[in-house]
Formats: sequence, structure tokens, C-alpha cells
Amino acid sequence: MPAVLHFVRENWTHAVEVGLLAILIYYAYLYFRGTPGAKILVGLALVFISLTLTSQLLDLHVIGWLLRSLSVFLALALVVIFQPELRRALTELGSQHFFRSAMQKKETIDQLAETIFDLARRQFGALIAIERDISIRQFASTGVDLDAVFSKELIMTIFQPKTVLHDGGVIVQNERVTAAACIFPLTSREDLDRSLGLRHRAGIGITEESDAIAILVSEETGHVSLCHRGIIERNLNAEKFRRRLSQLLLLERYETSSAAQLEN
Amino acid sequence: MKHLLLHNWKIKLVCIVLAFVVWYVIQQNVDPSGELQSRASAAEQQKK
Repeated sequence: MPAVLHFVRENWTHAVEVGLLAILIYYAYLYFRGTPGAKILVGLALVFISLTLTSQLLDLHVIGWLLRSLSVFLALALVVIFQPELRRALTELGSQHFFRSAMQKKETIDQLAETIFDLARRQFGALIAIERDISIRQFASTGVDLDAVFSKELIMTIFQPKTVLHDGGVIVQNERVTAAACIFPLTSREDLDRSLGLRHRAGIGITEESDAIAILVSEETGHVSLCHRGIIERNLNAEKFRRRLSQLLLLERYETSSAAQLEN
Repeated sequence: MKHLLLHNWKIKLVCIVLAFVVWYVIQQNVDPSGELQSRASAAEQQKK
């Protein structure tokens, strides 16, 4: 027992260091996943780590020296490659969105529900994707950048059938409308109801590729649907819609939600 | 707490492994022989 205590006392700082590094890597991964530079980052990390480990294990001094010398340039190259993402990350860190409370989110959910059912009443077709942990900004680049404060009036204007932006989906990130008229990937599932149009297929498609929530309003029927993780819940009434959206956005119980639960 | 640990657990596990590899590589470059660490623990022992 004293030996264990001695070991813990000697090495707890190492465990803290590894833990902090793991947290840093995890959040960097969540942040950069889905961005154009993500594949470059993963490729560079793999090459760097495998070469370093090989040089350490086989005692290759020249490769080791080369890697140590190149690591400074590599760090600079990463800053240049990820300059837009780093700038955005620092901006978000300093913004109030990062520290928004559940109460403020609840207000946004209420506002969103009111907007959606207003769209449904007017039978304006709509597709809204709400980003969660996994970035969907690669789809934002297929549409028109907005970066506007979320408001009912803005959403109603975007989905007005005769406006230029009404076709395609709207992306909401951190309670801001970041882009409109975005093209989302269509689901390739063949077991879906044939009455589902391209808008619904796009709504399901984006939730298959990310953990985003897609909200759909049918242009034909005015029915409201909610998609997440490739599952669609159709014909929701206002109360059920608000409850499900709150569960998904506030309680984050989407991992444990089963298709059976969704039907209830 | 359970959700915090189990949400994305595979990715979190990979991150811990990766963090350990990175930490090990840096540790080897900073203090290859572990000299600094052994000196620090020796000083601690002397204090005692």
C-alpha cells in the first residue's frame, strides 16, 4: 500500500498532464471535425506521431532530430492552415453564447416553436438544421452566409415562397442563423414513406451525417416533423414539438432515445 | 456524470490514448533520461 501511495504521489502530475491534453484533443477534434482542414490535421497528426514513435522505438537519431526541428514549422503551418477556424474559436470563446444558460435556450426553443407553427399555418415549406456537438459548417458553404440573430421575422422572410433564399435549408449555430439556402445531403434510405419529398430526405440526410436536429415544415400539408440521428418524427403538434426539442437540446438525451421512445 | 463519461466514449478513449502518446513523446524530448524528475524526487527526499 505505501508503494502505491508513493507511486501516486510521484506521478499524479503526469496524470493531470495527460488528462488536460486529452481534454484539449477531444475539444479540438469536436471543433475541427467536418471542416475542410480536418483531414489535413488528422493526416499530419498521424504522420507526426507514427514517425516520432518509430524514431523513439528504433532509436533513429537523424529522424528524431529532423522531427524536433520540423515541429516548430509544423506548429506555424497549422496556425496558417486553421487561421479561419482559430479566429472563430477565439471569437466564440469570448462571446456570450458560450455561457448561455438553459433558461435562455428555453426562450429560444419557445421562439423557434412559435416560428415553426406560424410557418406551418401559412403552409410555407421550411428546413432548419440546428447544430449540436458535430460541426455542420461544411454545409453552410453551399448556401448564403447570414450570421444573423435568430428571429421569427427573419425565418418567416427566408421561407417566404417567392424569396431567393427559400429553397434549401437554414443552419442555426449557437442560436444564430449562420446560413440560408444550404444544400444538405439526401438520405439514401429506401424504407422511407414514398410521400416524403426531397426536403424531408435532406432533413434526414443531414441528421445521418451529424448530430444536428432538423426541423421540417411540409409545403403541401403544413405538417411539422423533427429529425435527429436519421430518425424522423412526423406530424407533431406544438406541445409535443416543444417537449421533444427541449429534450434534445436541453437534456441531451438523444443518445439514449430509441425509436420506440420517439413514437410516444 | 454518467452522460459526461459515456457520451462519445470511443472518441474520448482514443483521445486519452493519443494524449498519452503525445505526452510521452514530449516527455522524451524534454527530459530523455528522466534526469530532471529523479533530481526533483531526490531533493524532496533530502528535505524529508
